[in-house]
Amino acid sequence: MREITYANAIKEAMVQEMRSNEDVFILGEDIGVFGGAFGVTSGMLDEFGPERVRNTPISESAISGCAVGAAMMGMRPILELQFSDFVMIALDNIVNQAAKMRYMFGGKTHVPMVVRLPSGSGLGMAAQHSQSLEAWMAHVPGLIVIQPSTPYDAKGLMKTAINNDNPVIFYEHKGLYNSKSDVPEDEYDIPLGVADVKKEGEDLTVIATGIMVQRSLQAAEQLEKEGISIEVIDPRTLVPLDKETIIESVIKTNRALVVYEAVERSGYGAEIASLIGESEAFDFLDAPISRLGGIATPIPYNPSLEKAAVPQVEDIIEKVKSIVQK
Amino acid sequence: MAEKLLLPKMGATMEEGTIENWLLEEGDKVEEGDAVVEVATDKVTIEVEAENDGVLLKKLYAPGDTVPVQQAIAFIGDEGEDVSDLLEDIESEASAESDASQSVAERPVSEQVKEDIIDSTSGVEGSGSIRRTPIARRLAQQNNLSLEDITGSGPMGRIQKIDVESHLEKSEQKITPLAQKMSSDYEVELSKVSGSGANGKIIKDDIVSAERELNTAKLDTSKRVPFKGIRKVIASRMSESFYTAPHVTMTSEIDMTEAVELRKKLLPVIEESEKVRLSYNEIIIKATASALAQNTNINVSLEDEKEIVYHQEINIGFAVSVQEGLVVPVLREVDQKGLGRLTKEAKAIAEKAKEGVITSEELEGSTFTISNLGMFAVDGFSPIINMPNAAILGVGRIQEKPIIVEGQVEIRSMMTLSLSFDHRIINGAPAAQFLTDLKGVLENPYKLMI
Repeated sequence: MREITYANAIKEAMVQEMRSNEDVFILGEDIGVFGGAFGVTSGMLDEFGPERVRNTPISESAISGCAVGAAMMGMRPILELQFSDFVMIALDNIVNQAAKMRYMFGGKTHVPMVVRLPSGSGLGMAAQHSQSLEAWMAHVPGLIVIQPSTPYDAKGLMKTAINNDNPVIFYEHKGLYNSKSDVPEDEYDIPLGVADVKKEGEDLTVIATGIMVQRSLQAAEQLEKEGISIEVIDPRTLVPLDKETIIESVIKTNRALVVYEAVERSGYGAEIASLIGESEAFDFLDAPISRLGGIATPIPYNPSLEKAAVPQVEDIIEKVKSIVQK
Repeated sequence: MAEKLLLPKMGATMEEGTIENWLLEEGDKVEEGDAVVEVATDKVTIEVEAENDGVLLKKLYAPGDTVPVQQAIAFIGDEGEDVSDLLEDIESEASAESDASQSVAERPVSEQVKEDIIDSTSGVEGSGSIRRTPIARRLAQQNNLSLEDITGSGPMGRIQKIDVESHLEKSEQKITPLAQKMSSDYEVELSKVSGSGANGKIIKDDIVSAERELNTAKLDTSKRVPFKGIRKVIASRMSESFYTAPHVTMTSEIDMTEAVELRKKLLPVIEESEKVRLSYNEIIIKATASALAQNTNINVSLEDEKEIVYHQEINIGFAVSVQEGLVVPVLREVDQKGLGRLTKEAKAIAEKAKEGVITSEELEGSTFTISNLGMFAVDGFSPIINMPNAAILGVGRIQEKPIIVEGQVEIRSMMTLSLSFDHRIINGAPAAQFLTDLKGVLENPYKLMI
């Protein structure tokens, strides 16, 4: 199998879907000749032309409005917002319209669209271009929220997202675009609501999302040398969430830590921690369920401070040790 | 603060106990639940256990002393603690004992209630404030452990799974000093002993039973067969007879030369008429019947310890060894039957017994029993009476011996008979007469013709 980047894996899924399904098209700012802010759509204009790879004005409101309308009329639009932070301008269309239509019209219409949102910190893009607001989206009934952490997962989940008849919020981590892994050339689906155990372990279950999956795996490698074996679970899709895999793992390891990049306070990790506490895993807990998330601060521009604002590998190691008490 | 160890009241009727044996010496370390002293009541011997941790400071009584219940018998406290105050207490208590009950009654009720409340709440607080994780609690519950005994290694002393696990694994199980000493004396491996005391503490009895098991295990190379079925029936019948009937066994040596001659002559005759081979067994049975007919006071049985039954019929049982044990088929009205018929019947019934197809009726109704070991190198033995018979005849082998006959040494075929009888209903003289008559018949078998 060949290795490709996270960015190319996403592109490959979109390209393959657009080749097989005329209804699929992509729209966004500078996605044509420029290839998008992170180059994800580079080359797509050449293959599919300006009808299906549509450059838009700098208006997330317009992009999302057009997408909702097109989706209701039978198209399957993919929206690229340059930075997930800009989704705020599109929220009325996404939350009040896209997420509600199928419900309010009793199923007479549906809104099959994929909102691609490059998110996360670590690239020196400061407070307005570095946020992780997936919890906002996960809070809204009617939206599917996906957060892939590997090129393999990104390709499979993108195909699933495009073919889903509901609005899908697809969080791409900017820091992962250049990460590589084995990705099959053929098309494949990854079902929604199926978590992936990225690494098996005995002493503690880390439930990590986005770029924190990679950091947790790095932490696991170092902890292994110190005799602490952690299990790393990537939910992959926040909505729907694979509760079963998480609970089973915690019953096995007796300890749970949720690691996420978003601000710890009111983040999606709180949701995962709560569901563990409410589950049958409670009686198997040997330590308080813990969260490790970002500091409640706007992401600083200063690279050192930016690093300090979100969990790093060392932070995960330290947190795990404080819980495992071995 | 030293605590008094009181003589417990172990039953409603127990008023005092006698100090049997101190299990610890003054100065020995004591843990709550350790047996300190053995006390005998009028019914049992009990071990009095310490109710607090510390050191046995003072024994107040010596073995043999009798002590009323609820009286202090020892002090347990911190090492080197002064117990003179407590001793004074005891003395003044003893003098004030008579009005002690009155003083309790005089105390205001509210005060007593208050004390009760404090007692109960402090207990609840003690167990409720233990910091532990859910799985630690669950594990402790599953293993019947008290969290109070476990030290937490987690943050703020929180008891975690690993603490419960290591507590479980700890080779140093809770054990009383006596049990500890016994375990090393008996070489009992403590890890294989489960404690039956408070919180799984190993106590003396656990070591005793573990030691017993250990010894049983050592012997376990032997084959073991459940004690049941016919073996158990035989056992209980033997015991019943042996332990209820006072057995007397008398022996007599019989000159069988004439009987041997008789058998030699009758053998082809009976073989031709009945198709069976006459053996000494039948000759002895027939002779016994003849002697019983003369001595009706031997052909008896004791019924329900109320009546002695003098049997009309002479039914002789003869012991047959079978694979599983022993059966006694019965030949009926032996005195009425000739040797030919008797031989035929005896062979047939013995065959049935050996094949295990004999009916219970054929095993019932004997009035006398013969046990013949003549085929073995046995001269004489003391048979156990086959109840409800009153007597049994043991038959030894026939052997040629030099015998003095009318001043001359002759070679004769000799045999020893052993008669066991129930002395409750048969006296020595009648038994001796019977044996003498039987000897007469066997030595002069033509008497069978009479």
